[in-house]
Amino acid sequence: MEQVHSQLDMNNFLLITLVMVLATFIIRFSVICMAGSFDMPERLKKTLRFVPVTVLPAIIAVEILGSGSNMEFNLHNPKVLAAIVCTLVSLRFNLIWVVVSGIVSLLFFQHFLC
Amino acid sequence: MNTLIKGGLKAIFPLCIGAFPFSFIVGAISINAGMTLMQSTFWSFTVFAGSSQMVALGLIQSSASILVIMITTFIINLRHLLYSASLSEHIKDYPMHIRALMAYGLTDEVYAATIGEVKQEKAGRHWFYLAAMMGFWMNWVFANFLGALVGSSFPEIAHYGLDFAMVAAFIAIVIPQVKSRECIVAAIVASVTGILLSGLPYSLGLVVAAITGVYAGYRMDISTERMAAQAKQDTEVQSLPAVHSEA
Repeated sequence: MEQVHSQLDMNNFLLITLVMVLATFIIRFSVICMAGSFDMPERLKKTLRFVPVTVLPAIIAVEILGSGSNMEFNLHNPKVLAAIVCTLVSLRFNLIWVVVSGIVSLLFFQHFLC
Repeated sequence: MNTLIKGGLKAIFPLCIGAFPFSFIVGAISINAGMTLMQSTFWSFTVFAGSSQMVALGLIQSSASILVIMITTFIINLRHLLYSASLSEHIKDYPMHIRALMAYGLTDEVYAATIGEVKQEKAGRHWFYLAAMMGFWMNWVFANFLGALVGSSFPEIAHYGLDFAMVAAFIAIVIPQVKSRECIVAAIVASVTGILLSGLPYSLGLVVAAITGVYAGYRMDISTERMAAQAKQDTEVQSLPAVHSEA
């Protein structure tokens, strides 16, 4: 977490960009390029809705708790507390307020718990 | 044509305001992940996919391999298949290069703002779509640029919980989407799998977690549908004698 400002080397950057442009464009263009010549099965359409609600929570959980042996799941972990605050705020307010409350509460908990 | 362009810009405007802070944060975090101001701006210009960019930054910071970045981007953007399918019905008469350009900018926001108009299949509807798309795109790149500028002017910004900004943004994105019982189960299964497999190299645990979660959601759908069918059958059986007695 403290490895701030280690520069990304140019080749690596271009490769990541290219790979992401392709992955994104292929999906967005996939059906449009076939335009109307085939129908996606209803079951697949329905199942696709689970994609964002599985990827993001998994990332959130790992980011908050840490990975492998560094895992920290208790109320002394300021990130767990800040995530609870974010969840509550997100029930009523939009993205920017969730982010602001998350950062403020994290700083608060870090200061008083650590 | 001018009216269509104005209409497109007007339709996308509120969504631009909503996306501005998001892109700003992506820009600021990208500096943390080791990008230069130029790289960050170029990246937003070419990739143009908010949640994938945010996730990729986390992966770059944890030195995940290119393959994982690609698979994860692919998985996160899978929902765009739906947009692609939905839009294709209404733009099939357009030549391939126009369709390709439209697909390039097919984000959640652009889809949401334009589908109503495009559905009506009026002549020149691509101007409406392209105006909305370009407006959103420029707004996206500009917000990213400003975020990156702030991120690079204050390198110590990382110590003030900017890493956590990403997590907070994800929470804000995902919570409104997790409504049904099926989605809750899928989310929990994915999270637990993700934690259990977090020791796997190259963040592969995330990919497995997503697949497991989607499968759990799919099974939940099936069982919900069965239960609904069963309940319907039961009520039909119960109502039968009543019908008979009346007769």
